[in-house]
Amino acid sequence: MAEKSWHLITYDVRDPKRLRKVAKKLEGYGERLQYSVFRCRMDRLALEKLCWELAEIMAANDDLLVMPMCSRCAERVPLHSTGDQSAWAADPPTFRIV
Amino acid sequence: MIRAADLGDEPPIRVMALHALLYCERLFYLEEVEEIRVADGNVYAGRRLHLERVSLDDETPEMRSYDVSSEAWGVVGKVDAVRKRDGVWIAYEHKKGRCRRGESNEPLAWPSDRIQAVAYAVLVEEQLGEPVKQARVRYHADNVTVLLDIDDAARNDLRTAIRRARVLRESTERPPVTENTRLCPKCSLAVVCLPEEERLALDHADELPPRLFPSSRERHTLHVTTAKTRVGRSGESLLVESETGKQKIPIEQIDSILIHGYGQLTTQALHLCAYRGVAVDWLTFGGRFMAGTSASPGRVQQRIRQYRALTNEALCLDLSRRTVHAKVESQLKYLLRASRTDGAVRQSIQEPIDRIRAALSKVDQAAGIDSLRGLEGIAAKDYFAALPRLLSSRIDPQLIPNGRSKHPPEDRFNALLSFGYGMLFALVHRTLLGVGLEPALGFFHQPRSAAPPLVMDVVEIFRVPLVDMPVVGSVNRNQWNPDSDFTIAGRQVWLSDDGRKKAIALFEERLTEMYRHPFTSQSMSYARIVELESRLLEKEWSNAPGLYARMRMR
Repeated sequence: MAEKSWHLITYDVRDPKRLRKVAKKLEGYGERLQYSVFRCRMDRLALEKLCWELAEIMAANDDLLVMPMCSRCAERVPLHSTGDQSAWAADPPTFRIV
Repeated sequence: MIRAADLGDEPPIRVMALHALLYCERLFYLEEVEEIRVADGNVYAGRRLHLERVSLDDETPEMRSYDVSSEAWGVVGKVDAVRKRDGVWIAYEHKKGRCRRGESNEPLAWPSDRIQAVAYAVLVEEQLGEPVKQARVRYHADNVTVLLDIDDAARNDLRTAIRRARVLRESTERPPVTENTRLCPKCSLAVVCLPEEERLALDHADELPPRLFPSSRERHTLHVTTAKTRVGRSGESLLVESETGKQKIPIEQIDSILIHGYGQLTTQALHLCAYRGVAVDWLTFGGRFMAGTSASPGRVQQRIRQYRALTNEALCLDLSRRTVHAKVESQLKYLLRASRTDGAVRQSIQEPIDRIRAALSKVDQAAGIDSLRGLEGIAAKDYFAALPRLLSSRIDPQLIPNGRSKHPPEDRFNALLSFGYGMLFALVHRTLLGVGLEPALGFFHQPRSAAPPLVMDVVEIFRVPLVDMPVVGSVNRNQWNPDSDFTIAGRQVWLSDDGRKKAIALFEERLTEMYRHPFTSQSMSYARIVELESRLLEKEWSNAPGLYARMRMR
């Protein structure tokens, strides 16, 4: 069974066009926390796919930082953060109703 | 006779396909002939490796990601790099993994990697018109480069591989699963090929590897239930606008969208769903399945096999017997199990139980599909007569049904059942499309409007575990409000908005529950079991029969 975990993803992209593409791509995987900081709950397949898709967009002088977080680290994020960071510990349900 | 291949009309073979061929012939067949491709984490990591290769510091002439093709060989591909070293060209191939080790631990290339590198070298040589005497395979995991000589032996091996690939492409039969069990755990197509399950059927159970079919659904289902909701697209995410506000949902978190009633989905969103392999199903407010999309390419070989198999009356009868057996046995076992601890309840349903048991004993000898339908009908009638007895005496009497009524449901309990069956129908429909089967050609049900027979066939084995049991359980737990969860319109009873949300949650939570499949002995979610059974069904006519419909309640 593929285990999902939180990943904190931040980037420096040195061209506005690529920057927008990278941000849009990350919106397809997780939530934006700050301007260039995202969090994504992913298993290995989704992570590898995301990294490949980002590698296709980003240039050699751009930077990407992916921090995998264990569940205990994720639980402690709200303790040290401002704003609403409440959903870090919970495993989201497998369905949504709107 | 002049064959098309002799004239060079045959489509060329991709070098990657030769790599697959030497890894496993079945993998080659599934990818190249049946066009089933599944990318796993390793595939993406490999693709990224090719994008991110370290730049070279010296100024030797080099070409990267260089397209090569040869009509004489009938092969096309894209070589990772060609560099000129000491005046001669060398083809490079990059691999993410580790190299193979020889007897004295010397680094060697794996046969599949070797044939790939040899093919590139030969194609580059033809294209440049200059000799390429060497190919190099770089293994990044252990930082080893393996040198390969491009000699007559190498060319002969390439010729043999191409010939074998052509033979397999002409064949309409899937090659058997490989005997080397160590190949399967790393293969991205294992979820389609199901090698472990097939070996189980061949009684090699003693050498089973620990991993079987992956057991969990990784993404979510999005249910759009409120009117005036609009699902649009924003980049790579879905933008859901309802009266309560807007929210963005990352597309990678969604595996299917169910639209209950008249919620809107834009064309842009539909394109995104199709591109990302997200199925969309439309249901009526009452839960009846209307239509569904799935971005499955028409899988010709799979469908030809299905048509050939399901026009065989003997096979259809056999599958029908097993389906009815599975369904009726589930009904019987559920009645027995639910009345196990209460002697009075058992006494009150003993007669229907006896009749169901009698019907079940005749299923395996049923002479034809009509008599099977009769047995199924008898069992269903008794089952639905007995089902209300399983409901607790403490619940609101309005929730107690009077037999089974549908089109439309005439009481609250039947409304819950019908809604659940509608969602089950949609789930089976998108699963069948996803695994490449044709929903319109079944073995037991007859085609009629808006109800593809194969979906109805497969639904039968899941009615009890996925709908009946959770509905009875939730009614006994007093989870339903007879007034606010239902709307009564004359004789008809529907779910209200609140009731519908509860029913969706009930069904979805059931799908995530783990169950040990009695045949594979592996625990997996019910959502996965539906997919597993669909793939096992296809194996009935693809060289591994006897695995389908072994799902049973305990």
